[in-house]
Amino acid sequence: MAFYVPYLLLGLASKRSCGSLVLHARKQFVGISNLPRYHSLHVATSAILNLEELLGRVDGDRELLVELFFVFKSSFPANYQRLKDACRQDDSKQVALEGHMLKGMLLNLSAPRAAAAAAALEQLGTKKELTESPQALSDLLFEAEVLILHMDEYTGELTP
Amino acid sequence: MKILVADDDHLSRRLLEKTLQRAGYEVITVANGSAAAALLCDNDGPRLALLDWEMPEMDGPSVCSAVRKTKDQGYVYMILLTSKGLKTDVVAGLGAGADDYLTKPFDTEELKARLRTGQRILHLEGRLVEAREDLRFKATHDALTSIFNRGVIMDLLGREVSRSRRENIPIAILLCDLDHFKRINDSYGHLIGDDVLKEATRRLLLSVRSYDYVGRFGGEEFLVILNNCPAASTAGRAEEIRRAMSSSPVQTNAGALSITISMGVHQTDNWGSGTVEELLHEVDAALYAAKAAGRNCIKFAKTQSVAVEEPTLPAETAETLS
Repeated sequence: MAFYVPYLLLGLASKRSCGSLVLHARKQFVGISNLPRYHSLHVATSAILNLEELLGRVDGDRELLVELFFVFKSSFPANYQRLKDACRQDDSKQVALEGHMLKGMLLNLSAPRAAAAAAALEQLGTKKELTESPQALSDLLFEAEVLILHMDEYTGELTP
Repeated sequence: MKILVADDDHLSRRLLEKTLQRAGYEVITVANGSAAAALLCDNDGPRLALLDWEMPEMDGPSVCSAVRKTKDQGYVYMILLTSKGLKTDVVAGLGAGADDYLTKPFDTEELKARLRTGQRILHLEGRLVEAREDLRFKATHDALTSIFNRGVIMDLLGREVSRSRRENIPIAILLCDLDHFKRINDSYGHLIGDDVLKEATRRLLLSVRSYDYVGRFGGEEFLVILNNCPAASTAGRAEEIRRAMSSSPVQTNAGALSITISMGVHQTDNWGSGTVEELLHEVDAALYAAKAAGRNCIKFAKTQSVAVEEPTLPAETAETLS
């Protein structure tokens, strides 16, 4: 997360351009080769968090939306850790299960990019090809970080 | 309506819970398949369920399969929630007993529409079960008095006689006939006669125990099976019934009408290996003897050797003595 903090502190991260800025920062700090393969550098905000779709899913209940963001933010670290452990232990079945669960959660959150990253891990688990899992884990973490940033931004807009 | 949501993902569970509560459902949530199966297999459990495909302990299709295997009362409408997109997965889910499936991320309106479909199916099933039960009741019970009809009471008699012989548990058979019922019908009409029959049935049911059987044997004839009734108490039980019947006049639109019954009684202790038909023939003969003896009294069947003296007394005499 540290790489985009300076942008936020300087107020450079405008509310609508966070995703792009983070990607930009990532390019600056970690180099283009480490970017998730399915990323473009100009990410549409809706690809990270489709608020319109999500608000429709919760019947416009913004309170519930914020609650769901909180649930994700508090449960993701444990989910991610379990995925990471499963990858390290070469437990394909567990990787597929955890990836699948995260994918479902992220799809319900209307977060297609992060869901795709989780789906990539699920696929690796299903195919029992965990050699590429470190990269996939890194991609997922990155997408989750961007997503959380968007969530925080939205939550901040709601609070006076 | 109660609905079960089973999903190991807290976020999806909460989202569904809130969405369904808003749609008017009473939502029960669980986080694994075993808990879902236990609730759905319970006869008082929810009849509508949203099950995630992948869950710890038991996955969604396994829950469907378990419910379909064990549930014999009331249909459960189950929708699988899945982010699996393959047709083979869908086929497997439906094959396991799911009624429908929804892919994640779900669309709220689609979810509600599919649940309404489920409710329609459950409503239809409820009506079919009701109709079946109604038919079953009509096929086994007498339309006027709502007690067992002749076919059922005869089946029960056969079963209880066999059980009595097998387990050496005494039972008594009572064949009761309303005295001068034809006269009531002829004098006051059949509707009044029907009222009398209904009241006689009510009195009969009140004077037996919950594990005894009462059935309408013919027009004004009732067959009573007293289960676990030792010979020593049969006469007393029969007399109680006779008295209950004539305890007070029956209130009808034609005024208060006094009723009495005659009764033929058979007790298992001494009836050997006769068939049910033979037993009935003997008890019928005893009833005929009671009628011949002036009605409103009890006669024991010929082969009966126990406690013959007391019940053959004319009822009025018995009352005087008591």
